[in-house]
Amino acid sequence: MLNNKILSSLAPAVTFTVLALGVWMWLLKPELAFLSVISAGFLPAVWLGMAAIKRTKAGANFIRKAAQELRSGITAAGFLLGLALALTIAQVFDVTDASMSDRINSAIIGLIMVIIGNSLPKTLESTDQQKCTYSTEQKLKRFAGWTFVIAGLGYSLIWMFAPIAIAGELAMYVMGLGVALIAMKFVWIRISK
Amino acid sequence: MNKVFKAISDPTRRAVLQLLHNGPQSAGDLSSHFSVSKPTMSAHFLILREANLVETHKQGKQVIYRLKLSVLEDALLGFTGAVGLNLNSTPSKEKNNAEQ
Repeated sequence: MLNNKILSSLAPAVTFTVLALGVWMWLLKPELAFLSVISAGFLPAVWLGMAAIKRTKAGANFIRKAAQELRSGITAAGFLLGLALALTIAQVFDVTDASMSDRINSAIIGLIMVIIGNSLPKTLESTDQQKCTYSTEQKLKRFAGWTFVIAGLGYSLIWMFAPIAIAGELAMYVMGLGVALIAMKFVWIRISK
Repeated sequence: MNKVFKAISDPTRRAVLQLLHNGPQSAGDLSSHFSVSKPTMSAHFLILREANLVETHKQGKQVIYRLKLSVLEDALLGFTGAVGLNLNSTPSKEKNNAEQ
């Protein structure tokens, strides 16, 4: 299971890799200079921003409380950014074409949905009986977790195997259906309370 | 993951997790469903807590247990329950107590 600790420990490696890929893309495709600089500078800018926020008292408290979650979230975003850069570079060398890049990128996004959905029911937060009972929260998060996992798997499989002409539309229907089901469940729980 | 497998290998602990699917319950309420001693139930609860499959909080004098299963763990629990697997082939101490 991919957890915050593992992702957090990968932060320096991911930052360096994205920076290097961004610079490489700039050299390979000078017409994409702006995009390359933004991509390469994104993670260092975020880390510098966090360091600046940390210098203030309120910011230091906030970051200390959620340090690992922040680091893992930023690292996950960096991973996706690095993947997009790597696929663009691969296209330059004719390793993949545009449709294959779309497939790989989208399939991985689907798998990320699966990972998020898998851990969703474990993140129980409510301690306020007035706002939301434990039972309600548990039911909703369990339903949302299962829906995200199934929809994420469906999204990935469609992008991997469906004809490229219909893959995007079909995958969006699956993901949209998942989100709609979660919203309906939420409304149903609110009404039946 | 070993702790998770250990936790769901026991039928009593699986039954506790199934009961918690209906919502949080106190330790006393959960124990009332089983004909085992309190120390045995406490041992079961401890194993479930160590595997991070349940979470506890205090409500007055009662300890309330609630489910904390990931989708994968939930699926694993459903699978072992459906197939009736008893992965823990070596009888554990608490299992012996339960049988007594």
